Amino acid sequence: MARVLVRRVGGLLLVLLSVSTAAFIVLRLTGDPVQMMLPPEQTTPEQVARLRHQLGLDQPVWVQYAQFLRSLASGDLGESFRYGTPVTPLILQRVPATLELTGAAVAFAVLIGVPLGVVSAVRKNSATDVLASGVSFLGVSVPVFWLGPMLILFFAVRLHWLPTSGIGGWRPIILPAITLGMYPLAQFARLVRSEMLDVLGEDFVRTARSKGLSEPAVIVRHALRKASLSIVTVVGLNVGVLLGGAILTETIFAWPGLGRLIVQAISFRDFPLAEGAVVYISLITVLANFVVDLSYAALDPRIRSA
Amino acid sequence: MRPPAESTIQIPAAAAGLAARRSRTGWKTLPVRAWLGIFLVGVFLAGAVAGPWLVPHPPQEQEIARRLRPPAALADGVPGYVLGTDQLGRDVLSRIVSGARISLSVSGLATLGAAGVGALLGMLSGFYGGAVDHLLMRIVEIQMAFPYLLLAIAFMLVVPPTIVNVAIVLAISGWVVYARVMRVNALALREQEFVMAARAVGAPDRRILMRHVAPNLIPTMLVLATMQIAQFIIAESALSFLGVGLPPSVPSWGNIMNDGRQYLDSAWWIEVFAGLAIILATAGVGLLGDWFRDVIDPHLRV
Repeated sequence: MARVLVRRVGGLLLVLLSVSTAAFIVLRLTGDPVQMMLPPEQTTPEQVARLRHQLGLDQPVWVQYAQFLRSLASGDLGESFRYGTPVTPLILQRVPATLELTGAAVAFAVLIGVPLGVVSAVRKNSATDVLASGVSFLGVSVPVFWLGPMLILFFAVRLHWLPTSGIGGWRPIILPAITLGMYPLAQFARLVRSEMLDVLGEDFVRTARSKGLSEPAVIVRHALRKASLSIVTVVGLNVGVLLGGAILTETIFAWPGLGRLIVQAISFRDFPLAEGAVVYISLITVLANFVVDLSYAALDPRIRSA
Repeated sequence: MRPPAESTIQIPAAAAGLAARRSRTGWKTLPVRAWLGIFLVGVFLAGAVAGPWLVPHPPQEQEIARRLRPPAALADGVPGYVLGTDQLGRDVLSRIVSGARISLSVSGLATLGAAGVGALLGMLSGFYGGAVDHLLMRIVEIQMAFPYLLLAIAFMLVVPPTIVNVAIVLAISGWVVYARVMRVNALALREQEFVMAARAVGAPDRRILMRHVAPNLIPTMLVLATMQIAQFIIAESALSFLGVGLPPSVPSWGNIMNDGRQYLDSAWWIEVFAGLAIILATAGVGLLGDWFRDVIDPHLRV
C-alpha cells in the first residue's frame, strides 16, 4: 500500500512538473508582456529595458526557467506582472468560487441526471424514456456559451427572476450551475440508463427481488449502487472537461473564479499568474482522479482487498 | 497472457461478428435515431458543399437600411430574409449556411489529424510496448491534466487564425483519445492467435501491423472520430467565443454567435439560429456516432 502511494505521488509530481514546463514554454511563445504593458508610442527604449529587467525577462530563457523551477520547488509561484503582488494569494482567492460553481453544477447534474437515467431504464422504450433520451441527447449538443446567454435572456432579462451575474447567496449561482451542469447531466442520464439496463438483468438483482425487497429498494440499494461505479469514473475522467466548461461559464456570468482569472492572465501575457493558475488547475484535475480511484474501494468491496 | 480488461475489442471473431451484425442491420431495420442522424448530417453536408449556390443572398452583402430586422414571418420582417438580418443587414440564413462549410471543414480536418496521429502512435505503442510505450502514456497523462481549452487559447495567440491552424490546434488537443483506446486495443490484438500465427509463418512486423492489427482498429477509430467531430464543432465556436478563433469577418458559426450575443436583447434571432445550427449539427453527428458504436463496438466508453 505504501509503495503504491509513493508511486502515485511520484507520478503526480512528474505530471505537475511537466504541465508547468509546458505552460512555461507555450506562454513564452505567445509574445512579449512588456509590449502589452507599455504602449510603444509613449515609451523610451530605456523604460522598456528597465521594465524587462524588473520582470527578469532580460535573462536568457534557460536562466528564467531555472529560476522558475527553483521558486516552484519552494512553493513560491512568483509575482504577477500585472498586479505586482504574489501569485499564490491571487489564485487561492479565486479557487473557492470555481469549486462552488463546479460543485453546484455536478450536484445539479447528479440530482436530475441520475433519476432521469433510472426512469428511462426502468420504463425502457416508454414515452418517458424517449423524452428523457431526447433531452439528454440535446444536452450533450448544447454549447455552454449558447445556453448561458439564453438562460440570461429568459430568466434574467425578460422574467427578472434571477440576476444576470454576481456572487453571494443562492440566487446568482443558479443560472451558471445549470449552464455548466447541462452537459454532465445529459452524460449521467445516458450512462445511468445504459448501466441500469445491463445491471437490471443480473442475478443479484433477481435475488434481491426474490427475497421480497420492494422495487425501489432493489433499484436504489442494489442496481444503482453497481451503476454508480461507472458514474464516478466518468466524473473523474471529465474533471478537465468540467473545468474547461467553467472557464467559459465564468466568462459568461462574470463569475470571479479561476477560469476567468486565467483567461485574463493569458491575454495579458501575465506569465507568472497564468503559469500558477495552470499548475493549480492541473493539481485539481489530478487530485480529483486520485479521489476517484480511492472511491472505487468504497463503492466496490471487491477492490478493497486488491 | 489475457487481453487487458479495458479492451473494447471482442475477440475471437471481431471481424466475423462485425460482418454478422452488418448483415442484420439492413436499411429497413435501421433505427429511427440513425435515420435522424443521417438526415441531419446530410442537410448540413449539403449546405457545406452546395452552400454558395443555395443561399438566397451573398453572406457578406451589407445593407444598413435593413439591419437587425426579425425573421420574415414576424411583424417588421423583410420578405426574403427568412431568419432575419444581423447588425450590418446581412442575411442570417445565408451566413449560417456558409458557416456550415467553415465549421465542418475545421472540425473534419481536425478530426482527421487527431485520429491519424493518435491512432498511429497508440497502435505502435500498444504493439511494441517498452520504453516508447511508457513515454507515450506519460505524455497522454500529462496532456489530460492540462486543460485543453487553455492549450488551445495559448496556441491560438501564437499562430495566425486560419482554418488550418484552428484545425491543428484542435487536433493537438484531441489526439490523446485515440492514442489511449488504440493502444489498449493493439495490446489485446497482439496476443491473438491470428497475429501469433502470422508471426509464426515469418511475417514481418510491418505486414502484421498493416494486414492484421490496423484493419481491426479501424471500426473503433471510426466511432471515436464521429463522436469527436461533434465535440470539435462546439470547440471551434468556443475559441471564437473567447476571441481567439477565426477572424471575426469569417462567417463561422462561432463568429455569428459572437455577433448575436452582443445584440441578444434587441435581436435574439441571430444568436438563437446560429446556436440551433450548432446544436442540430452536433446532435446529428452524435446520433450517427451512437449508432456506429452500437453496431461496431457496444462496450466502447469514451
